[in-house]
Amino acid sequence: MTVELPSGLDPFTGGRRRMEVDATDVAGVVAALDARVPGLGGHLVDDRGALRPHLLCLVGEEAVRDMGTPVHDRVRFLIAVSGG
Amino acid sequence: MTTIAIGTMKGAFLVDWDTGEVSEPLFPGWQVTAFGRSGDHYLTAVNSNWFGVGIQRSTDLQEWTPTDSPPAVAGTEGDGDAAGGDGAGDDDGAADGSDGVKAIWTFHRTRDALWAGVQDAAVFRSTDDGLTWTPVDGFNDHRTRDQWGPGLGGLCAHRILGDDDQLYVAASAVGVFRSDDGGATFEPCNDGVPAVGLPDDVPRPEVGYCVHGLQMDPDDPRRLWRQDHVGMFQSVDGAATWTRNEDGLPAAFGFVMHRDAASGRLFTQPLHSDGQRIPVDGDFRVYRSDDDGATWQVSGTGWPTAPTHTQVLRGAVAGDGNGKVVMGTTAGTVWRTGDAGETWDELDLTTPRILSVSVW
Repeated sequence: MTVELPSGLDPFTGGRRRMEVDATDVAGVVAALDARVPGLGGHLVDDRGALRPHLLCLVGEEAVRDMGTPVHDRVRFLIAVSGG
Repeated sequence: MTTIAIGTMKGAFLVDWDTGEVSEPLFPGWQVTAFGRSGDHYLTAVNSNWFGVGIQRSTDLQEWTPTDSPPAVAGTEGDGDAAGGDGAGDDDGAADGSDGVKAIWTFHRTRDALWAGVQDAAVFRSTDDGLTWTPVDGFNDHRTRDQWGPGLGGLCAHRILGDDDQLYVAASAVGVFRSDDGGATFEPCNDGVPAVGLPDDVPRPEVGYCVHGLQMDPDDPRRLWRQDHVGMFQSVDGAATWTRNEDGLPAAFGFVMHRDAASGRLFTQPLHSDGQRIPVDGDFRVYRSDDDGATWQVSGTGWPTAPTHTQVLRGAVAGDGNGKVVMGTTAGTVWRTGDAGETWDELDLTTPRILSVSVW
């Protein structure tokens, strides 16, 4: 499946904004990203494993915050307007 | 070659001291809250409202690599507001309050370790040049912790000084602490400094002292200087007691305390008051003491003649210890001296609000 990342993470991804990972839910996506780019997961979820409050996670076309949400072919992480 | 590192609300910039050449923005969009050096590594602490805290390292100031695990603690507490005014934070997008660590405000290298002071007020220690961090429980779990509260800039450990044998930590709005056992235990050291807002007839609390800036004489670690919320103080007994000394200053409020090791000169930037936080009468000036804080005067020449209502935050001052001193302002301007404060000039650039500087 394809994961899309916001440009603000460029300093931590080397500029990669699209990655292919294998995962069954959002938490698995984050874990897979962190395995690919160590430390990246900590910029998507907080110390308790919850999606950071000013990030938006789209599974398909649906915004989700439940890390157990099943994923299919596309997940997008976006910066939310609430972030300033 | 000397490089000035400038950390702002929206990225970092490197300036060649001699040519004035300015780098492209580093980490654009990220708050850059602290710089450090450890071993072969330059370190930059970054922070994002969206993505939290991170550390980037470089050995050549060209290629930067993020570390995997910056300081972190589970849970949240304290103010939930890293917003600024008290010298640390921001007014348009600070950390989100979801983590135990909202920002890294200082690095300090000792003989055996690299130390970091963070918000909410905590200290971490690294023995691998900042790759991994261990919480310093003697400070973080201090017996007075439940009495700690934030200043306007948040609850942050913003200065660490000394060496492994005798370590000082300054935290707003908590006070100065000293450890004589390598960070295993800490004791508050604020006698002589009034607590902010408390009348004299109220018993002195053990914590609640709003230290803004702190410097130490590395040749005599018992001598310290402190720009506090309530004035300018010095200690000659390892922070056990503090004496007020503001002779020559137009105002006793401010955030800057810097000492140039070679000359022994002290530098500060007075501000009108905690209520205003701008230079008195718009006269932006750095003040200097040539006598260990006994008296103060305007530091040399080069200052603007037009009204200049800006300030220097506590982390936005640094030097090379040999006459070079740099200060960045909330207006995004940078002032420097290469002769220990005899003459100053303004760099030819304007950046976002400046949070941190370093001279490498």
